[in-house]
Amino acid sequence: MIAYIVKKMLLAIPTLFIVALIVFCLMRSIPGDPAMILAGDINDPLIVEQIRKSLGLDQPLPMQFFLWGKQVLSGNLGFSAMTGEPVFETMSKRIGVTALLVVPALILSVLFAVPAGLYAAWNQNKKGDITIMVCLIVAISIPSFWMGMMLILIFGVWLGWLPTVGYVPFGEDFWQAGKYMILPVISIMLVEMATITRMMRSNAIEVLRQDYITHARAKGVSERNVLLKHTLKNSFAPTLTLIGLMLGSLLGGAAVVETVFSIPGIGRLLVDSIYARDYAVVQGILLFVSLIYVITNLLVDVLYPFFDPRVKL
Amino acid sequence: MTRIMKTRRYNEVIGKYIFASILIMIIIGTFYTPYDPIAINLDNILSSPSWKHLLGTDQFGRDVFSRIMSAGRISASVSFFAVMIALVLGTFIGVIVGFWGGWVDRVFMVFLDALMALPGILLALAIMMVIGAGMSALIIALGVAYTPNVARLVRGIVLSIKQKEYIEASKVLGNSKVYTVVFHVLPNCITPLTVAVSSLFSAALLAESALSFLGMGVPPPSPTWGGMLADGKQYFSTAPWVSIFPGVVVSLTLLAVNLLGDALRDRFDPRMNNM
Repeated sequence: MIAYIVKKMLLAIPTLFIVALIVFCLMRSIPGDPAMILAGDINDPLIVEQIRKSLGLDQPLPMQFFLWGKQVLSGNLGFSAMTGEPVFETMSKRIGVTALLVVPALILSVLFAVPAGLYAAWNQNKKGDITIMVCLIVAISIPSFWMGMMLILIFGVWLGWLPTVGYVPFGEDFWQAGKYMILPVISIMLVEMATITRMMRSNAIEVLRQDYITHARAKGVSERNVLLKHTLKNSFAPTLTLIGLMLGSLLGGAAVVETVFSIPGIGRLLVDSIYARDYAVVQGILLFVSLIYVITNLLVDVLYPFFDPRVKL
Repeated sequence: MTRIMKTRRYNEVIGKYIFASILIMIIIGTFYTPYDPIAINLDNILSSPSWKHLLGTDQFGRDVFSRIMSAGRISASVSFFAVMIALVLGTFIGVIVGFWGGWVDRVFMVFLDALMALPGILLALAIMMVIGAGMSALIIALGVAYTPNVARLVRGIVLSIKQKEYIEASKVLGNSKVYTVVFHVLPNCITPLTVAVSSLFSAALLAESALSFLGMGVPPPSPTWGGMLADGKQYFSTAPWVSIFPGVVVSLTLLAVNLLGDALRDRFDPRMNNM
């Protein structure tokens, strides 16, 4: 088991290295000389040259990448041009907010998707299944930001049940904070929920056709146990992989939903930083998002044998 | 005929009807709109839907229906060309690494894993930061962002085709690798790719409207569906029609593409028959 985990972790290192390389190349290909921008009005070539040297920009590109990589690894992501704060601090303030949006959305989607997918598969081609499938394809087709706006309009403006936009930290007022998060979580989770349900359903249908299910039924195992013991576990394993992969799109979706609901999360920070051309922050966020993605998929890989022991340890 | 087959057929028919109506609307919108979609009319700001303006007017007094009609062409062509770029680049890369295999394939897979770690929208945003905003930048950014998905898919298809006897036969006959790829591998990729194109198109359309919504799309005054939604956001509580209707059209388009995609998959990919 430990060998398996170590192997998976080692495989993640080249991925992270390439991510860093891609982000580095993207940032370096932005038009404009960072040294000139830092020098501002001072139009002295000597001073610009000095700044260039202090930033390491006079070195060849591979050397620059190496120096930059060393800084990143030591946790130094540079300073935000907007606030002058270290990027790491700016980001860590926002990460928690996005987590409060993405984690509940993911948990609720799975809590809905697994039973719904199982139920639909069990009732394949019957009324319940067809109803669920039609609802799902509609849910997949509605953009999350428009869904968010409609929810604001219905529950915030017309019915007045929930606050419209904004964010209250959970530390200040727990109930109020929860109320503010309901609509954003719903609008970000619908697509994920529908995708996971569809995956769960098709996996469960596949499993229900297997000989061991027929065998279990012939043996007299109750339908409940056939579903819960034999089908659930075996069809959840491939679904788990999808859930890991969906985290990327959830974090991307967070940028849009946070904009709709004016939530100060990391997605909103990215959009603001792109507008403000605050490259250090953009770079930090891209690195951070891919790190989260790689770690989550590592966790999924590590958990996978638990659901499907056929995967060699 | 079982009920599911009937439902599936209904789905396909409904998908076709919605798709055709939107296509017709876009084509008509290219040549004719009831009002000028760009001209500002300050006497008529944010008027609610009426017989004169079926879907109301926006904050500059422009007819929302006319704008939806002409925005369709821009939104659809951005997605179309982005998908084409992703298809061409992705197929090229996928075929090469899948067919040649070995270390090329291993290096490529690491690259692909890394690109997959950057979500499509964020990658497109970052690319647009480098190459600037605008319609062609948007097309390139989305095309490049979706290339890894296509490449991954094509690589998988090629790996399975490689095992087939007819590839072996082509080799034995003394055909060059390039000939085998062009005349034996590529034609067999087309069917599975058709299915992928529909889901890619809906993803691109969604990303286009999301990026326009974030203000990173086609610059004003050219209307796009996502941009119209973003414009309406400010006047949301007083004039909801400005953003309701573009959203309805985007959702209907996505629904049609998804329904047709499911139908295509049923037809071409019998393994997925239970989806």
